[in-house]
Amino acid sequence: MLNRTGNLAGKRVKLNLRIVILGMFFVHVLYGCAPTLTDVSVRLFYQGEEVNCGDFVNIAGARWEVSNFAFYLSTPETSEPQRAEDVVLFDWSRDCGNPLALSPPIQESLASGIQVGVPFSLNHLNPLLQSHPLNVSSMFWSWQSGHKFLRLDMKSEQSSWAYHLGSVGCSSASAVRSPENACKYPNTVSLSENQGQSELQVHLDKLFEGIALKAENRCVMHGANETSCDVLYNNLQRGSVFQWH
Amino acid sequence: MALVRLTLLVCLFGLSACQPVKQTTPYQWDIPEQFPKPIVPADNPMTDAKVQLGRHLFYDVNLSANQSQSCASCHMQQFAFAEPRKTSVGSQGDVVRRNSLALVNVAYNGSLTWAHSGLTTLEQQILIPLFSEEPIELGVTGNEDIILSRFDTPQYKALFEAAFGNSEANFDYIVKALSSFVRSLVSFNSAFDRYAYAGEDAAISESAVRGLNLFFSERLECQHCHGGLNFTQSSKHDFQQLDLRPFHNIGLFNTDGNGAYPKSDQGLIEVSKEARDMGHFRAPTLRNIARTAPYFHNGSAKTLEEVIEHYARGGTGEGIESPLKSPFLKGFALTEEEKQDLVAFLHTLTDESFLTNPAFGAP
Repeated sequence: MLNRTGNLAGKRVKLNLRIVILGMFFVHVLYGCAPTLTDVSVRLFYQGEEVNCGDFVNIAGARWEVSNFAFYLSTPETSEPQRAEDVVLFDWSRDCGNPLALSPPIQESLASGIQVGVPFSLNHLNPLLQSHPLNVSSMFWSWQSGHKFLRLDMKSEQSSWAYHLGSVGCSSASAVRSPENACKYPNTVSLSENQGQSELQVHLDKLFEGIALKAENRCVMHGANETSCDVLYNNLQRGSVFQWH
Repeated sequence: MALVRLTLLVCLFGLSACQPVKQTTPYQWDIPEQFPKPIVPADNPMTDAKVQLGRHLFYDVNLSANQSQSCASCHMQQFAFAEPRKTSVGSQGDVVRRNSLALVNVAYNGSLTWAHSGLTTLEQQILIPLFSEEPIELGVTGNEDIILSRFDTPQYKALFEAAFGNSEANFDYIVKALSSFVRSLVSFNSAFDRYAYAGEDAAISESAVRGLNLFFSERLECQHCHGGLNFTQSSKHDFQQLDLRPFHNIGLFNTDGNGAYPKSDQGLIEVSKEARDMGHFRAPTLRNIARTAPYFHNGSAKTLEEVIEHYARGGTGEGIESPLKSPFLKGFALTEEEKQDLVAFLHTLTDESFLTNPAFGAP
């Protein structure tokens, strides 16, 4: 009896060990052996329908066209110095339908989280002397001596609408110094952790929630008369506009 | 032997002719000795060659995408490089919401444009008229290549070569050259300068002397915001602690009873996002002020008399009661003669040689 009990106990230990080893193997396969993403596909959606290059989108009865859509991806600010080459620009007009190559620092940070934006330490340098992609003039945000982090310009036959996002409140305490401290409103957008998904979906309908698409609702200079700015940024912060898939 | 020497000479001549001919002759400021020299960014020292290139670019409509405007379209020499209209219009018809500022002694400015505490160099500021899309001014964004190709001419290649040792144009060179030219626009030869700094008693009229005394009086408080070398800096006052921020609310508006300016333009708060900066705009220089009408950030005052009346009232309309207006805007009473004296003084700040100097004009 004792022996039998001892054998049974021994078998249970072996079984548990096998389960543990099998579990470790699966964890290893799932995470450890997951190939490092070197590029991702960026796909645009409106109400579940994919928006392809050159497509028109029917929004509230009007045909809208994406005339410009671009955003920077980067790793959040770290103590390690970053270079312009570490930042990645997705530009709809150039990259639509093509995979977006990720920089090594972004590849390494995918699991812990990356952001839409440009790190503060790179954002306020002379843009004319920066390397690609920080020398792309359509992303200059000269009035804040920085870069647009994201821009979406839409047009229809009757109207146009635009959303330009970047850091604001970037003036220094002294009028004789460039911004040395982080801007009052950095306006970066954190993406959720990537679990090995190779597709970054952008859901325009989630971005437009709570605003009607019309010229009066544009947000480009973040002034007092652009009340849509808070709505749009809150929508971005909710995490449903940018989704890994 | 003579042949060898000749050959050597020819070779040396040939070599020097093939070297880049970047000219590094330091710029000679036309500034009287008693005035300080402006601070120049270390990465863009002033040279004659850069000033010359910048002057050509400043007046060249090829710098705008549709070749309709140059910097000089909104900054005209005869108006002290300001523009005689309320607010400017960009090269593609976009309305610019503010009045074009004069370019007088801006090399000395600690901050630039009407309301920005973060722009400290011309090199930063010039990016705005070049690349801004909201509104479009010169419209460079997206048109860089075609614009640069317009400077692929023998004349410009020589100018770029002289300025930077490289005949090929790029926007870093363009910005540095434009900054150098704008920095060279100094004005210290007004009748006031001759009276105040050169001791010429007859340089200004008796009326202007009375106006000068009014200007610097505690009764009118003008000099607190329009003080110093260029009549533009804020300064210390018995009733106010040291204030190095040259931005002030002058009570033009008060839309909500709490000092708000219209949402279309609220000044420095738009940049700083600090509530205290509502309606704050930079006090511009008064040098050549008689030539830079209309006045205020929105061009709402047509004449110097209207400006003086605004300050005499302590603001305009609801703005008089603004809790955010500068404490120096207490209002004051002036006789008609005193007003004319004050205007006469402001006219003595005009520097005719600056307004007509060929070195600042179109090449």
